[in-house]
Amino acid sequence: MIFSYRIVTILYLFSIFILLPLTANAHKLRIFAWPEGDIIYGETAFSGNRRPKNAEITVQDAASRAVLLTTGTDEQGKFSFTVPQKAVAGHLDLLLVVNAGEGHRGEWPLPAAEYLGLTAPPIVADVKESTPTVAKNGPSPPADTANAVLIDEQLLRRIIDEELEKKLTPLKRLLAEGKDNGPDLQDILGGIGYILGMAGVLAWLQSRKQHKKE
Amino acid sequence: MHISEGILSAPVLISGGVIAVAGTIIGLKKLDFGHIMPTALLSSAFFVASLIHVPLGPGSVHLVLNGLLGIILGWAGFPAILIALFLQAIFFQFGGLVVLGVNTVTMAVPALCCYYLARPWLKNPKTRPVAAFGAGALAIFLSSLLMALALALSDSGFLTTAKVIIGANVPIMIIEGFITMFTVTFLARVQPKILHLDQP
Repeated sequence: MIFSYRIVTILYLFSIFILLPLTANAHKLRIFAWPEGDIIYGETAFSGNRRPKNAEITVQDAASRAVLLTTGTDEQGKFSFTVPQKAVAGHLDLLLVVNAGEGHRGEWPLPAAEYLGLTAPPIVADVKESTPTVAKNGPSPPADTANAVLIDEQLLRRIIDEELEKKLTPLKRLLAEGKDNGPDLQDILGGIGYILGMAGVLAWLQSRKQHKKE
Repeated sequence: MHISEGILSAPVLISGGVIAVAGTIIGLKKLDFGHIMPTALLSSAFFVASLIHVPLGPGSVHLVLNGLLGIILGWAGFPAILIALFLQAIFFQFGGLVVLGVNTVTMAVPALCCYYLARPWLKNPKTRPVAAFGAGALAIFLSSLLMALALALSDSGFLTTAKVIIGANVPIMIIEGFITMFTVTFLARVQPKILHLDQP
């Protein structure tokens, strides 16, 4: 009878440890944002893809942590906002922070380089800077055509940038999701093994103490 | 049930850390040879329990099992929870190393309360299921209160925060009540030594 009880206990513990990871579902809060034009779109989710509704989003200057803008998520955990003028003017690296209350918080850094390329129209400024070099290098008559080619090149560059950004956004999103994919079985088993190992060390230390007493 | 990093103020973090360290030292002193393995097992169970997400209620909540851990371990719950939370912070990015102290306190103190409140009732087989259910539910309730307190001391009003957190955790209280009840009655029948009910 005692023997069968022992088997039941072992099975009970065993089933707990085996079944638990199958339903693994974390509650870390994830945030992800990407620029399109001068608007920044973003998504938030708890791992396990539950969406926080009406969570607070604060847009901060990454360096000084000054809050530039506050907004919130909609029912699907999505949000969007126009890049603040102050950020564009100061080339500020942004830090988006989501706070869903109850101690849940997540961050997403958005460096200036990522959104500035699309908001600030660089064509005019660049042409002004480049014109003198063109004038110096080439003789005066072809300057106009050189200018036109230059504008075309700038335009092309911008179009390619925008298109690339569009194509890369889903990829970036996949990467961001992959990074926070929640705990693996390795993590879980590793943790349990670590705890049992600690218990082993403790047991060993205590048994040594007892031996010395005897 | 974990508070993320970057929310709490320094005084709350420091006092949480001090209480956690004190509790852990007492817990380790009281941890004798026979209780090392049960402590490790319950620590592992606590470590894994947070992965079980309960899709009920408004928030994102998961099992905690600190009531069960408390009535079996008592003071040894402090080191058990501390280690489990440490590993959760490293492996799962739940909570964080800076808030480790506060998170330990919010879960280990209710566990200890359950130990002292529920033990007298656990010895009697008639009151055992009720006491176990109560301990499982009460631990979550107290944890929610402590968490609301920690958040309120750093930031917003206590009452609204407490209401939100407790509201979100009501399903967990009921579920943990049942889990604790079944586990304790099961252990009392099969492995009563783990519960060491004969001791004061």
